[in-house]
Amino acid sequence: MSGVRLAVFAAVLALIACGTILAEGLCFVAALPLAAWVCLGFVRSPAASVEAGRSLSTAFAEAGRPIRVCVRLRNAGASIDLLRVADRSPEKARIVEGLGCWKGSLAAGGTAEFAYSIVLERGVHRFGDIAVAAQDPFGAAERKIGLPCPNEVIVYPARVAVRALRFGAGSARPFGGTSRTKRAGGGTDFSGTRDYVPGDPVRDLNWRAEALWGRPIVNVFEEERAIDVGVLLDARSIAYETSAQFEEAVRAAAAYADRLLAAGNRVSFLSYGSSIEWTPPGSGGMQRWLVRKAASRAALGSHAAFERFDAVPPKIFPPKSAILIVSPLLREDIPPLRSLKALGYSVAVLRLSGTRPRPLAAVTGGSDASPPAAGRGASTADFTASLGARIAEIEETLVDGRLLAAGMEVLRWKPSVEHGRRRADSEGKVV
Amino acid sequence: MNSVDASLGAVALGAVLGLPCAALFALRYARLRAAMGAAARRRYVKKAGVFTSGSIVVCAALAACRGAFPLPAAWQVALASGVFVGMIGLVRRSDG
Repeated sequence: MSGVRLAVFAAVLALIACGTILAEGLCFVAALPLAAWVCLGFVRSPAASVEAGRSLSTAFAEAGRPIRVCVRLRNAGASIDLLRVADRSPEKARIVEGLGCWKGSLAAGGTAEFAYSIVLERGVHRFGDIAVAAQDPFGAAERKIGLPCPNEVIVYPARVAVRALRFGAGSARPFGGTSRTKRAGGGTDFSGTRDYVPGDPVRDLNWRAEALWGRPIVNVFEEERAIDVGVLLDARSIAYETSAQFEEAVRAAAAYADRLLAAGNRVSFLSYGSSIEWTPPGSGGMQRWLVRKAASRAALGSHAAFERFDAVPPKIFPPKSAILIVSPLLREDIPPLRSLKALGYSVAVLRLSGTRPRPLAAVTGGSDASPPAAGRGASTADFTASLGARIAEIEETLVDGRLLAAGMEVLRWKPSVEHGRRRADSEGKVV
Repeated sequence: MNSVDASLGAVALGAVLGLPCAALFALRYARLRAAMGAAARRRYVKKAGVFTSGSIVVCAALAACRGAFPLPAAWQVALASGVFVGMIGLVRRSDG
């Protein structure tokens, strides 16, 4: 029963009560038309034979880009004097243009449509039913129905421009690319020399070096080839402080996977969290779509089996291929990464920097390491926070040093600052 | 002359008693007018007019017969019970 009918019904009851108490027939008479109107709503319920459909401007969108949603209605029954339609957009949708609802009259066989634009965050989003309420404006009777209209939108991370990565992977693919690989007899750029092994082309023999060292030496050249790269996104909830940091990691992983694919490499994508979500190696536009889809589905999670990188199955990566690990990285993660390196993989770690700690001098106002003077209770908390941040920074440097000592590359990804469009501040150099 | 006066009085009383209905329909029309199409508006006005007119006629007839049929005590008790049940139903409805 609608609110209006409830109010009128209450008025009817009040009039009848007055009539009974005062023994006044006029009160009963006054209640009669209103009671008849309330009863009318029970008798006359409007039909709602409405067909609805929803179309989206795209089912695969970039985060932050508006998606146009268009809802079309068709009245397959008798004319409806008042129709209210509300589209149930995904929970995290933000309407940026138009309204997600419509009301009006719809004649028999008539059609109507309304459109609005939404912006979604990264992820897989599902639309709900289209809620339709046919109302008889006179009787205030309403019939509500939900029209199932399943739609799914995959929203991949916002694209970020990143610098090209130059991996020195052990094995190269037979196609041209941007990654430098050392191959005796191949390429044009001189890289170095090494001892001759049977099978090396005779034309690469370095006669001068042989004369100097007294043993056969061959020249080694570098050539730019496509390589196999596995992008491993760390999705373990213990590794991240905030979900925003994880979103940054997903953005970084997707950006580098995009860049590597654009360079002609064969890229696989692995999301490592509560489970292992694996996108097999591939190249080209289709693979880009698959990697973006995998990045959009990535979610933070935890599982006892995947708390450390020990459970990363190395055999899913092609032998001697490059592996890019996108993670804030914990101290306990170094041994498993060393194992990957020992197996012959070229490992690079893209670490996510946190916020830069304030210098201690700024807090203490004096010498760098002295605690605040007594009586300045408010600044003690600041000092402790700054000290903690400094310790975290030292630990990060320590982990970096260990990774470098193990022969891995360390890259830094600083949370970007928005200037209209997100830009990466990624330094493609060894720290 | 007295019967004419009584009839006019009854009609006036009927109009007064039908006033809440007319006010309700006018308010709803003002609220829903923008959302309704032209045909729907015409239908609404027609229905509201017929219903209000009928109410006035019925109310006038009942007002004219006022006192002719005194309400027995048993009916009063039955109506009071009805009111009580209705009130309970209203409260339960608002809970749900």
